[in-house]
Amino acid sequence: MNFQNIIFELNQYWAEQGCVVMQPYDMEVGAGTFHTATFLAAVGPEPIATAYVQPSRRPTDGRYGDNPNRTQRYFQYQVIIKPSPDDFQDLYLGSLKRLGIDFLNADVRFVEDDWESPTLGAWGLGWEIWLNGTEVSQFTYFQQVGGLNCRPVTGEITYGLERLAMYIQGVDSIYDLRWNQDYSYGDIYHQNEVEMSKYNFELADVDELFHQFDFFEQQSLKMSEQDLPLPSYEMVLKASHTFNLLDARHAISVTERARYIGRVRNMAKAVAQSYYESREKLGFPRGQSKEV
Amino acid sequence: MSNTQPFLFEIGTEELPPKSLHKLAVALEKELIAQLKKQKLIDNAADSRIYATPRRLAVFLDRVAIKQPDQVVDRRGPALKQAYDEQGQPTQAAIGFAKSVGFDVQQLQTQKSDKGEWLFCQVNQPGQAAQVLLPDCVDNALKALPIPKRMRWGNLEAEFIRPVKWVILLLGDEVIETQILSVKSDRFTQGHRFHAIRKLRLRNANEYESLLEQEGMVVADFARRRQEILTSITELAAEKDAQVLLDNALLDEVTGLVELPVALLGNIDQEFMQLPQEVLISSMQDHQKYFPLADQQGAMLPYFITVSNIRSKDDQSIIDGNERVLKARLSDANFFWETDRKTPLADYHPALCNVLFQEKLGSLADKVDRIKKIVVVLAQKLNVDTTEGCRAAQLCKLDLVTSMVGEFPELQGIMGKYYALNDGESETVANAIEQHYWPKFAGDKIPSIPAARVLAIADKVDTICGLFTIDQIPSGDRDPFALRRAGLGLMRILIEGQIDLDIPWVIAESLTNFDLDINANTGDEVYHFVFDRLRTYYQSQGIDTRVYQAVMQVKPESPLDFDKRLKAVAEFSQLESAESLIEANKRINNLLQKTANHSTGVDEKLLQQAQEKALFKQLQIVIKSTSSLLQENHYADLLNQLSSLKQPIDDFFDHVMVMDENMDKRQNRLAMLSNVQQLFRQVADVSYLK
Repeated sequence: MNFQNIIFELNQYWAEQGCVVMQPYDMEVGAGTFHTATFLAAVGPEPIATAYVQPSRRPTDGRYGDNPNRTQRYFQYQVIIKPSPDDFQDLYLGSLKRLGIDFLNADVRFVEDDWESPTLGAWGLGWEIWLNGTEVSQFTYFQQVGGLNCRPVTGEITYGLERLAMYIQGVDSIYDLRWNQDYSYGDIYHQNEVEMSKYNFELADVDELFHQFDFFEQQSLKMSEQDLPLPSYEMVLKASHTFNLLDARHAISVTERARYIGRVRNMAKAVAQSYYESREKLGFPRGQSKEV
Repeated sequence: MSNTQPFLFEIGTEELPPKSLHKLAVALEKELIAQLKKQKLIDNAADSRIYATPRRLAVFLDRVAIKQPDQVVDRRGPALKQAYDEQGQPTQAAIGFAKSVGFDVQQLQTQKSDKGEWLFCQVNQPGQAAQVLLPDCVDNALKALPIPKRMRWGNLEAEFIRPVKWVILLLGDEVIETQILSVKSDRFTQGHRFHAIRKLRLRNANEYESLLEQEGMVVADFARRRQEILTSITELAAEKDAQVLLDNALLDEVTGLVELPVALLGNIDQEFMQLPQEVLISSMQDHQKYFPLADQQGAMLPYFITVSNIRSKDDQSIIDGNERVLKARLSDANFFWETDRKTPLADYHPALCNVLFQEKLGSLADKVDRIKKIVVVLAQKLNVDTTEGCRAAQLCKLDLVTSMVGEFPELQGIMGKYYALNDGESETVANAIEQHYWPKFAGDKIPSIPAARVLAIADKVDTICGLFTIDQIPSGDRDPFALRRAGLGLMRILIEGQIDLDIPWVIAESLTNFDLDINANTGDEVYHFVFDRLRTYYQSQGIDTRVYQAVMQVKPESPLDFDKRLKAVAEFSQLESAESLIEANKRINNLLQKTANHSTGVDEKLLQQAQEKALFKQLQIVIKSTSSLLQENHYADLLNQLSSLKQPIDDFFDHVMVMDENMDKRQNRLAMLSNVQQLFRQVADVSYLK
């Protein structure tokens, strides 16, 4: 099964389970969790069921296209359901089965992995899922997001699409993955890895990035004060990615690192609070139309 | 107990944390037994078994009473004052109480204690059925489990370590109907996640283990599964003439990760075998939960064993997958190993300025500067080579900024050693870098060479003094800088390494290195903190805490000296004469405490009674014979000598009135007792042994 077919199958499968199949958030993010459909949807009581691909950027993981397992950008497949359903694990296993994985053949395991995102003020409990020893997914029951307790609890599944595809296709390098019948992952993205690694590690303008971080922070807090959580949140995303770039440039010492993370967390908390209030004002409408 | 039934409680969950699984099962057994004992549903004859797999915890009790015994219970009513009015007539309170227990007021008794008098009676309470009591027993036991983080799931309010899927309460062949953590109890369990898909119906509590094994494909008994894994990995290793480098914690963890263990052997590419052994082990053990193999001499072999959770139709593809993951990890490690070594260790120093030790205490580079200062004075005092000590101090934290330690933090110190050797540093310097973190955990070895000991002492003293200076003192569960472990490590190095070092001196040296206002008490607080570590240290060696306290009273400055005193006192406490000498010391302490301001000068002319003369004479002998023993710290011999005072002291107290009306005589006798006290306190305050 080629890479794009894996995405098609997952979309189809989760659509059948009642998920809204969404598109990626159109900004640089470190993980699918940063998509509004996860971070903001986890706030408050309104139900949600959604699935989407999210390109995720981690500048420090860049390896100039030389490492077969690490890249500065990769693709996550994210599933979010609130309240987390009783058969959530089985639904997940069903999706692997759809991708042709035979559980009496491969060794699939749920291995404890508690998740915490200091930048998002969020934590949850769950597992990484091992497929013959390789971590191919993460599975989390959110307990807190943006400093707010999750009631009800949101369940999150994050597939590492490249890892999963490498197992399914039996290849040893990301770049050898078949994207479709004609092109490999490397054909499409190798040059991007080389150039972006060079930019992230060597060329990104540090002074300007520091300046931008301050600007995004200021904008974010201002928008939260004006009860505009969505624009405010976009500024959080920009600030977070700017921080990641500075980190890749080794421009932030360990002392300052914790402080910068704290600044992003404060923005994220303000957004979560402001978003909760805005939904409350509307009477938490999402999902109510279903009843009618 | 008559009329019992076997009882089974199982809680089925999504996958539980493997490291704490066994501990959790043991705690569940303990709490459940305590609950059932409290309800008198079991006695000591009951046998229990525990089961724990990734998806279940269970306790089986072979005989639980189906009904509580009838009991006579004490009921206490109002105090007598409230029970009768001034005319002696029963009050409403008394009448109400009588009614509640089914008696007339006249039939009630009174009960008296030093706290007062009450109305009182005994009532018969018929025993309740186990059916009624068991749900609460289970509930309470679950609430008492030591779970660090409880979670919620779905839209439920229930909280547990992981979501709960099913619950079984079976007494004999009957389901005890209840709701536990939002799940209704029943008799259905589940077998292996992939090998046994349908639910398994339990006819009775007894068939639990066998049904799970035969139809569920699950080895539910933790200990048995652990043994099965151990046997199969040992056999698999033997096929390659190898031994398993066994880590018991890993074996427990792996046992907690599988319900149906199948051990498989994989290969490691030869190109990775040049990596330091610790890197190989860390990659396999900590990250992938694999067992590493070595030849009979202990040299690493290019194999690993993984324990899968299925009987696969295709073992080879599982092995291939695991080999591929390990290869990716080791490729990374190889890259770090090659890159890190391109820069000499010493050249990493500028990067250390950016690594924070603690906000108010500066960077790790600052810490290294302070450590160096302590190393210089310590090395001189202890006759250790200063040059090598300082070199090791300069290099000891630098591996923290290498890529390898960034990825494998558990290799701190170890990589420092390898990189130092690679740069041509001496063996001593390299080993000191590695060993200055020792002891790493309770019961771990202490550094073996003098340079490492000096460096370890300096590092630990600096950490403790620094954090005490800024008031970051451990309390309760909070000890983020692991100061208790550092303190115990420090004391163990000094005692077990036979290093005679005065703690107040080294604390004072360390405190001068901080550019901060130092509280006048800080030195004293650190002294007490580190000596307080010895309490549990000696407890775990089976030494009575009273012995520790007796020595602590005289505030020895050197832990090694403390240790000698403690052993002497422990020996003394076993002597036949000890009991009355301890008693006498206690008496003397009391007397002297009441009568402040007395000298130790005894006027021989004032001595009249034979017993006081005899004590005086023996005192002179003992003072003479012990002075050289004290100088050489022969505390055991010293206490032995002092035991000759037993008879004279006993006679003295039997016949001589210390608090004589004549003040001169009284002072003289007190002075003599003061001599006795001082003699003992040369070693310890033995009155604490009482």
